[in-house]
Amino acid sequence: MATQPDDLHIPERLPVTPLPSDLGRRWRERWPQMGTDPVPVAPVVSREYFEWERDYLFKKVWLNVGTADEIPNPGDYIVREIYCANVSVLIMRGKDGGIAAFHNVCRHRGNKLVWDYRGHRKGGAWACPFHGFTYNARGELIFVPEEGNFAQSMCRKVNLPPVNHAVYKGFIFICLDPEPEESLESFLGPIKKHLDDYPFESLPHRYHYQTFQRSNWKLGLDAQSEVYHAPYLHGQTWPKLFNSDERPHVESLDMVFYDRHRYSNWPGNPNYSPKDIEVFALAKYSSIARLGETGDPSGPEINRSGAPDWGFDIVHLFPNTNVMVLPGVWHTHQFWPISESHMLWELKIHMPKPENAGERFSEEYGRVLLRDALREDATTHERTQEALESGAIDEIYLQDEEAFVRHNYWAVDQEIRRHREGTRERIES
Amino acid sequence: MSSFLLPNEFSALETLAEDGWCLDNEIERTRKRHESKPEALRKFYDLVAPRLEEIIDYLNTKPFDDLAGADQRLLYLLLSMAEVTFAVEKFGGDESGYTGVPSERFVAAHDLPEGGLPLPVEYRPAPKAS
Repeated sequence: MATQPDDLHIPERLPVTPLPSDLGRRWRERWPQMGTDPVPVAPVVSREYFEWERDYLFKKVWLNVGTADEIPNPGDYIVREIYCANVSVLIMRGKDGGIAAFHNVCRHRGNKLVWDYRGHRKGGAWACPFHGFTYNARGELIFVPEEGNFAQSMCRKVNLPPVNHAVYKGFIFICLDPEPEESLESFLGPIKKHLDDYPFESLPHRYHYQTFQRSNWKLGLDAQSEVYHAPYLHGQTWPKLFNSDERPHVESLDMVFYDRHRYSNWPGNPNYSPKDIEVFALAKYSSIARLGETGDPSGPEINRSGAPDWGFDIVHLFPNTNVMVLPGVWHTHQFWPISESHMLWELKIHMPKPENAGERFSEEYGRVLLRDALREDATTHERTQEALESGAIDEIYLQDEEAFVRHNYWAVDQEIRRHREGTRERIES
Repeated sequence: MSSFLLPNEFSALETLAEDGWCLDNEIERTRKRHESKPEALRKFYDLVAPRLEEIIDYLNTKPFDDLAGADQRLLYLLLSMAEVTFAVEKFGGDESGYTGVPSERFVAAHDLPEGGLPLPVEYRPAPKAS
């Protein structure tokens, strides 16, 4: 058995933020617009509701589809499938360093132009695998075999259909509406200040996970929106990583609802004491310790409460992206609907690039620890979908610390109402 | 002259290398962990745990971005230790009570040459009800 490293001896217990006196009612009192009633399950099982989400959310609003560091060099590309809209988007970096986005469809006979999901094209040109129609990084058709046989003039005239796109703080967004209702910055609004206060772009090293699930997309988002479940579902995988003797449950430090987007702030257990090999992985060799030497790079809108026992923050970008922010590491959860009962869940982890074998081991263990707890969440999404489809219950119940879950349903519902009924309720903040 | 898979200093771990634990990607390391019996995981852990700092100190004497041959295999063995540590320290090596989805379904897309998974055919939405 490994010995504990001597230099990690922690002499006294670190402070834990005390529970507030209005625990259990603070969020519903501060944000009364969302109500307190049980939440209907129809949005999870109804085909009609899925079609509204598709038409009024996913085909209308700005969607985060990745980060600029996924395509750092000219010629790099990614392909993102927006399954519910039957749209495939090719996003690439051009010679001028700019980012462009196109529908991934050849103008000749409609074949899908790029068949993988990530790569690099030297010279930034794509030849369609079907008949060799070739496009440059600006989406212009630059070569057609036997071009003279076409009655039409083709090159630089019949180009890839562009997709509206914009970048904020390294986050790449697309909008499938050919005429976006508002600019990306207007869409993001006040949630921008949380994105401004963390050095996302200085942590570009990435890992990427995908899982197709037989579950509504919102059930995945729900599980990544509260920590109520951690001591139960993750009781064996994450014992006391977030909960502690002082706080047997994990109550939030702060929550802010910005109409469609939302922000929350959560504690960790500062006295979590890993044992055996985990202590090496999580403490001794962590690259986060290396970052710590340079001080906390975050601004006041990250760990907004200023709690000394900060665990992580959730910055939710409506409708389907959670940005999870921790000291020295951040990741995104994205839930892409395919139908009312199927989705793709994507996780992308950004962290410092390891500089030695110890940091590499620490990184690998940290990822296993996260991944294998998320696999536990994945099971609940599918079991919940299955149980809700039985029709046995038509409502679910939420406690005050699940206000993020309540807001998920509220915000989607209001956006649909706005389009279908021309009116909606708002949260002013 | 040596036919060992690992650096000579770590000949006691050679049996693990021969068992196929020096894997260069996460998908295979996770699969190997889930295919291994609890006794095999505990044996791996008991052999590597007392040598963990020594392995890292040894590898840190080499240029990290340029590891090759036996040194590179030692790094891969170290990365398998991350998987095994989770299995042994959380579940005593026996993960039969673990409730997560199978690792084949939660895919390390960063290890896929195509960069992602295709949509499973059975996941395509049914035609809209009339």
